[in-house]
Order: sequence, then C-alpha cells, then structure tokens
Amino acid sequence: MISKSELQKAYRDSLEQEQMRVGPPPAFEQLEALQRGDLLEDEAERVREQLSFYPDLARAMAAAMPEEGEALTPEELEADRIALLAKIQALPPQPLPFPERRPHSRALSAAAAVIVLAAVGGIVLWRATRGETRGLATRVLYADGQRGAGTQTPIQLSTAVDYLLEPVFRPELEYREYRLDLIEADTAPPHVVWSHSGIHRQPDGSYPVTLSTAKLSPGRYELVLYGIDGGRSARLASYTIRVSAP
Amino acid sequence: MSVEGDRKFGKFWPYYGRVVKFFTDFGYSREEARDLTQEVFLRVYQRVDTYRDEGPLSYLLTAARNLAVNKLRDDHAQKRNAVLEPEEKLAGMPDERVRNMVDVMHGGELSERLHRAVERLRPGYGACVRLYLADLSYEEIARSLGLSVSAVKSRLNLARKELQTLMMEELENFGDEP
Repeated sequence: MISKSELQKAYRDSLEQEQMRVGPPPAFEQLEALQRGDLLEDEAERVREQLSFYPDLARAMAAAMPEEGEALTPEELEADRIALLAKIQALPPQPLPFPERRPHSRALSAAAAVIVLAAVGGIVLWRATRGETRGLATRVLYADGQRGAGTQTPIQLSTAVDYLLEPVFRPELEYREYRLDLIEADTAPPHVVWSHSGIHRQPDGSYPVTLSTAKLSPGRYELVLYGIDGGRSARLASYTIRVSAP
Repeated sequence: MSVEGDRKFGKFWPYYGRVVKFFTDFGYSREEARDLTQEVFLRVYQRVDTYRDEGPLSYLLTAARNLAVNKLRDDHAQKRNAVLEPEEKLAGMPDERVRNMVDVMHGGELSERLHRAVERLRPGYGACVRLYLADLSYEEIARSLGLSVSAVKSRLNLARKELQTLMMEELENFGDEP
C-alpha cells in the first residue's frame, strides 16, 4: 500500500519534468475568466488541466485578501507612501487619445458642437421613443489557436446586447497603436463590416473596445487584431465569432 | 490623472498593509512583499480611471493575484530555460543543484508511473488529483479551478477509485522498461 505522503513525494519528484512536457502555465487573463465562469466548458477543462501542473499558480488564484494587514510601523508606511508617490511622479504622461491636435476655428468648433448635440439628442429621443436600452456585456476573448486544443470553437455573441470586448494577445513587438476589424466571414468575398483604430494595449494585455451587435446579421465573423506603426500594419491575431439572434 | 481619479485612488491606500500581508502569506519576505505591493498600487493608479466602485478590496485582490501569477510564470519560464541547459554545463554548478537537475531530467520510476496513471483518469479528474497531491485544500482547489467544493470532493472520490485500479495496473509492471 502506498501512502499519501509517498504519492505526494513521487508527484513532486517529477513535477518539473511534467511542467516541461505540458508547456507554460495559463495566462492570468485565462485564469480569471475560468474563475468567473466565462469560458466554454471544453476550454475551462483545458485551462484547469494546464493549471493543475502549476500548484503555486493555483494557490495564488485561490488566495484571499487577508483579514488583517501586515503590521507595518508608521515609519515604514510613510516611507512606502513617499516611495509610491515618487514612482507615480516618474510615470510617463498618459498618451493623448489622438496623435496630434489641430487648431480649430471658433466657427468650426461651434458647428461641431451643434452636430454632436443634435446627434446625442437624437439618440436620446430615439431611445426614449423606443422605450428600451440595450445591455452591455463584457467578453474576454482568446485568440484562435489559444482557446483550446484541436477544435476551434467560435466565441458566441448575441444581437440582443452590446459588448465590451477585451481581446487578449501578447505580441512579440510593441506597436504604437492597434486596430480591430470585424470581417463577415460567410459572404463571398468576406468583407469588413466594422473597424476601430487608435486602440492602445492595456497593461493586462487586452485591447478593450465596445461593439454594438444591433445591426449585425447572424453568422460567422472574424475579429482581426492589427498592430499599427507609422505606415506599417501587421496582422497579429484573429478571433472567430458567431453572432446569433436571441 | 483627473481629480476624480485621485479621489478614487485615495480609497485604496487604507488597504496597503493587507496587500503586503497577501504577499508575505504567500512566502515572500517582508521587504519583497512591500516592493510587490508598491507595484500593485502603481498599476492600480495607472488604471484607476477604469475603476467602477466595485470595492477597493476585490480590485486590489485581482491586481495582487495578477502580479503574483505573472511573477510565478516568469519564474517557471526561467526554470524551464535552466533545465534546458545541456548536461555538460551542469559540471560547473554546485553539487546539490546538479543532483536536483539530474533528478528532474531523469525522474523516478514511481513518479513517472503516477503521472501516467493520473493522465489516464477521465477528463476533469486529473486536475483535482494533481492539486490534491500538491497539498492544496479542497477550498483552494475549488476556488482556483472555478468549481464548487462538493464538485471537487466528488471528482476526488471517483478519481481515487479509478486511480487505485490504474496504479495496480502500473505497479504490476513496476520495474519493467516503460
């Protein structure tokens, strides 16, 4: 009879070898999606399986915030506060949402303001008369080829709600900005139905963007992420999506 | 950052000590934990405009877990590169490290057979068994895998029975060439 401790020792002895065999652990974004229950069952089992070879990561994901704080002396706390402020001040300035600002004439600004106000008013009036507000759901997307072994299950979206999409991808090279194109795949030839540029990569490796599905026809789409640098663009990742009517 | 951003960031500071404790509980020294906590707060500061008042503690916990997981992933990547070093390079290393690496590379027969038996369990059971063997509690296994505690217990119970049979099969051939 082999005891639990013998089994544990045997397990530990070749754990690193097993880790070499199965490859790197899942990314934090995948683990977070797993805990939130956002992954399809096949994908969830695949992430669970991969995580189980990395018990230290599993512990980190299971760790709760302690009830009590570490007993820091007032001097330590003050030193940390000052150090943090210094780091914050040393941060590079936040990038402007647009690469350059052109001077506008007063008349142009006034005309733009009128157009924006009219558009906003129109939307509000339209929504009020329709008596409905579309919901917004968040979806973390993993690139094709990273969602599961073998089969490529499309990401399911509904035309009933709009989405805050958070495609996740870590490119080998950094780009100045990124663009997402949504391509209707079922048409011949496939064509771009929506595009959003000027996207910046977030520290967690995501590229958040809001997509309204209200006017999309049900069917298969491909969301493609491009890295843009000057005049150069590179296709980085794609995400197969299926849009269905409620 | 906007005034609103500064106001939001102020909500996080009272929990500084708890984030330090999160890392010391995880095995980091007090100094390392303070450095990591600074990193967590710096990241929170950079993203505070996206904070939607969902509770500073859960926001901080996510940021702390994110940092811990990414740090562990980096450590694993380094380890993988170290193990991939050719054996002749091991000659210059301290004896203990060489022994560990040789063990890692060649593995023990029992452990190899155990891993093989766990691999043969039905889908979903192996993950629970591996974490159980790594000494995680039922609650930790459940939280990390996004399962309920009762699902973990049930999977482990069924896996135990399957594993007994599989290990017997494996042990019958114990000592033979794989």
